[in-house]
Amino acid sequence: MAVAQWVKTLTFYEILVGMKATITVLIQRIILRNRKAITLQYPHEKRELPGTYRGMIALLRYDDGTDKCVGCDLCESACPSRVITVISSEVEGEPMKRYAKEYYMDMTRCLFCGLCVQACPVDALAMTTEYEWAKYNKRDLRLNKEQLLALGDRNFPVREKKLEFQHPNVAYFNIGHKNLPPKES
Amino acid sequence: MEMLVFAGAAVVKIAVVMGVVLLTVAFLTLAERKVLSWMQDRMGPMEVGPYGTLQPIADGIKLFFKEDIIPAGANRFLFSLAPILSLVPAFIGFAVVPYGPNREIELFGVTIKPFIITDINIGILYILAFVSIGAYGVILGGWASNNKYSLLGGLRSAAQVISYELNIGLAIIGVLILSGSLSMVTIAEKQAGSILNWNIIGMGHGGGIWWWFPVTQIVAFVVYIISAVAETNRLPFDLPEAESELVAGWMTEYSGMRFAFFFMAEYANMILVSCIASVLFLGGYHAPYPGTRLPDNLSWIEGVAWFTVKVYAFLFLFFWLRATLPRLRYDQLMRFGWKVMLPLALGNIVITSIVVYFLRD
Amino acid sequence: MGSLSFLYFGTVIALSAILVVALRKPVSSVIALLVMFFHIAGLFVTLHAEFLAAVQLIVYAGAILVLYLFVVMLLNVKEDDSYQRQFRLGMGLGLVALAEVVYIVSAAGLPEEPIRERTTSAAAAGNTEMVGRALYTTYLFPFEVASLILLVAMIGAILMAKKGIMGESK
Repeated sequence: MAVAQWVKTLTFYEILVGMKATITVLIQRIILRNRKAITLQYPHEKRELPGTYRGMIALLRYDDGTDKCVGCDLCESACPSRVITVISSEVEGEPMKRYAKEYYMDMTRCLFCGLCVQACPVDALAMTTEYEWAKYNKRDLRLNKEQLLALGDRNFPVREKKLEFQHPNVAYFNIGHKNLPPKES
Repeated sequence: MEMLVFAGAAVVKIAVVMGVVLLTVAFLTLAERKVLSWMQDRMGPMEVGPYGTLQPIADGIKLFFKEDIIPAGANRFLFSLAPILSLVPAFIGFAVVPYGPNREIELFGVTIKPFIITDINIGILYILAFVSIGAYGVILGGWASNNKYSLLGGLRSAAQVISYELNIGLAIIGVLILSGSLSMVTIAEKQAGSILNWNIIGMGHGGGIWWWFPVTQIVAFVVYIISAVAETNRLPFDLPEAESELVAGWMTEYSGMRFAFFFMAEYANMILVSCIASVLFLGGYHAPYPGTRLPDNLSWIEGVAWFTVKVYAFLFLFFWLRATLPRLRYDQLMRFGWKVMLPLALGNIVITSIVVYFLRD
Repeated sequence: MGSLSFLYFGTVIALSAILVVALRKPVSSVIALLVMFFHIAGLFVTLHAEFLAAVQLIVYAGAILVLYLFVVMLLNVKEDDSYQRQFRLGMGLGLVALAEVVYIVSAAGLPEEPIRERTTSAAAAGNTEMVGRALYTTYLFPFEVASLILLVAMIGAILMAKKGIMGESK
């Protein structure tokens, strides 16, 4: 036992085993060519992202172009990083109905947890697969409502019908559907 | 006239050698990154030029145009002196390395040796002397930066270089005993013949009926290689610049061309120790088979080619070790140097000198 | 040519030797000493003593001075008053030594060109071999004595370093 240990030490056995491992990889890469690098040449090649990828957050619209958001502020209270600022207001002439007059997201603070998306009662928020949002000015990352809606338009071309047209039982919020909030855009 | 021809030939030889060494340094920076990435399932530089082959040029341009920063509180003179002190000794050693067969050509009545800049009678000592000066660049750079990481890197380097320089010096003594000379050309010439006559096997040094008796220098070779890796501050002995502990060691505060000087010095030192190893232990420009295969007037190509192959094999070994081995701890480094390498080298000297004494007619 | 190079090396050696003791910062002193060692090696080369030149660089510049630098940096010695109590004693001794040198030189007279003749015979036999032969034949006894003294110094250093450790264990 001790002799075997000595022989191993004298012949650098363990170092040789390690060096064999590295040279094997090199031979497989360069000579046999049966091994590929795991590197992705990023700007030239991009990963296939799963549908559940949590990228930039977007505001959605119904199929008739009206925004889904009802200005309930639940997303704002659900957000752990206080990313979202909602300034909601009543729809004119409709005291029961509210909408988000202004909607801001400070994406510099966002940690992409998705709690706002879960909290939204009307599914007005969604997470896109966009991630290349590096900016030279960090103020460009404070998104307003138009930008968020544009994100949604860009990433979700298929829009939902209004709740009351989907099924009568689902229409909890937009009760007075005859008096819709004024279209934006 | 003769003086002029002599000086002109010397300048041409120096220019050629420096050019080749600098090109090799540039190539090595790329080769190292490529080899490491091949061994680690990566790709290495791919963007500049086809498969990243022009990366050294891009790096050089970047370093050349980078801002040159001298930190506040630094000793300006020593801070500027340190990169020069580490680069010059690294390049100066190439003056006595024989790159090809020991030939002489007549040029306007002056005999010139084309494959060595100058063959001085203490060649190997000359290299050792200047390599040991290279430590000053590291130590002074670390001290002059006014930075604790730099200082620690410099101190580590001082201790490491002294310890392992000793082992290098003692490891090559066996070869010097066998060759009976300090001149690099004579050492290489004594190993002519075949692979069996190389000092690593050492069959060509016997006399009388003991002609077959090998005076193998394989122990000295191993000691030399390990010490050379330590001397050039390469992994697994890169404690002076240990990134994870000391940022970049003595190079922390350097930028631009000053940093490039340190960088080039490291690679030039690698080439130099590889050249010494191939001349001292692997027969230099001699082929592993007896004689040469090419006709006599072209045989120098064969010699230079074999020398190049040997040097590049050593350089590849450097990369290979770096890809494989983790960094040693400081006490392990010191214990290994003084308690393992030093006794091995001393024992090699004793045994070699005894054997040579009895082999000699 | 020879006397010109000697003039250069000699001047630089003298100047840098003065700088070693005159400079305030210890690290600067070490650099001055490094310059001096280099020029001493150069002087050896002009005398065709290449082996001594290389050994001068390897041993003094490459190892001993690095250790000096190591200690200076480790201790982080601040600027120190070079002129201490021993200054007068040192100056007195230095003057005595200088007077001796002046006396010897004036008594014996400067040699014409004796070095050349001796070095030619050394160069013929190989400088390194001559040194080795001289060390192991003519000067064998001083050589052995010197190595013995160094051995004693080494053992002494080990003893001093071990004293603290052994004292603690008791």
